[in-house]
Amino acid sequence: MSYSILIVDDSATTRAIIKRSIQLTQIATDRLGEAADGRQALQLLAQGGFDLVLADLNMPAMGGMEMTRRMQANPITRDIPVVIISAEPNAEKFAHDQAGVRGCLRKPFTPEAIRNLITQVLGGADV
Amino acid sequence: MSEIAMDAVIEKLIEALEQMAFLSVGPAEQAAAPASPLYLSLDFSGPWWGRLGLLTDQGVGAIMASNMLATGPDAPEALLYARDALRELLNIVCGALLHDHASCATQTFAVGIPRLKSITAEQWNHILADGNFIPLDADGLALAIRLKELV
Repeated sequence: MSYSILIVDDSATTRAIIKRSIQLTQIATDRLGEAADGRQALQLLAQGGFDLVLADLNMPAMGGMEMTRRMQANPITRDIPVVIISAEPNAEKFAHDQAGVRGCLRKPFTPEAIRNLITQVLGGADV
Repeated sequence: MSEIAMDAVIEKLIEALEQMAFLSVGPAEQAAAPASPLYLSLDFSGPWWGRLGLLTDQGVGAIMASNMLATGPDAPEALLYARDALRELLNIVCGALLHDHASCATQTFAVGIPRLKSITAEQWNHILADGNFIPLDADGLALAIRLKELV
């Protein structure tokens, strides 16, 4: 099975690293989308087709938590799992408290940590 | 704020640079102004209010980006992402530091957006002399870091 994953982070470097980490782990992907903030992400998500969102918390236009709240309010995006990848000191607490967030990874991260989390969230041995 | 020792700041910087960019960081006697000096700062608020400051060279950012993206340091991507990589470094160091020093789950911090500006060699020397920065060496490149209490 192959997945479409949206990477949401205001750092272009981090988006590139997450993308590369996913490619290194050989998780089969149809599409690796990118957005620089929550607002851009919601526009892409409204088009449909994404299986997972990897999002930072602290972004200039719209952060990961507000994006997740809006995803929860929209029937099209409500069931897409969100994983927080952030340096935010309180990331785990936010991730724990927010419906729709299925995991949290602190920066800096390793490719193995990304693979483990995606495998856990998407829940398949064929990830 | 005094609860956060500079040793902890340096430890987080070393961890982040090693894990993110495979750069080794060690102590330095002094940090001479590099070819393309930059000053980065990041403010935070919460149980303590403070500012994390970093003096470094654009070249450190290019090496970080090239190591992170597996390109050569002169590759267009490395040059394009150099400043972004440094902003993200400061963000990660600050987040890791505050995460470790929040004594309970109810202690929350708000972290700002990293600011970066190009400075002259004169400004570098002035900031370094006045600001309690700790000079460091990252594989031969100059760095200096400071944590300053704001309130």
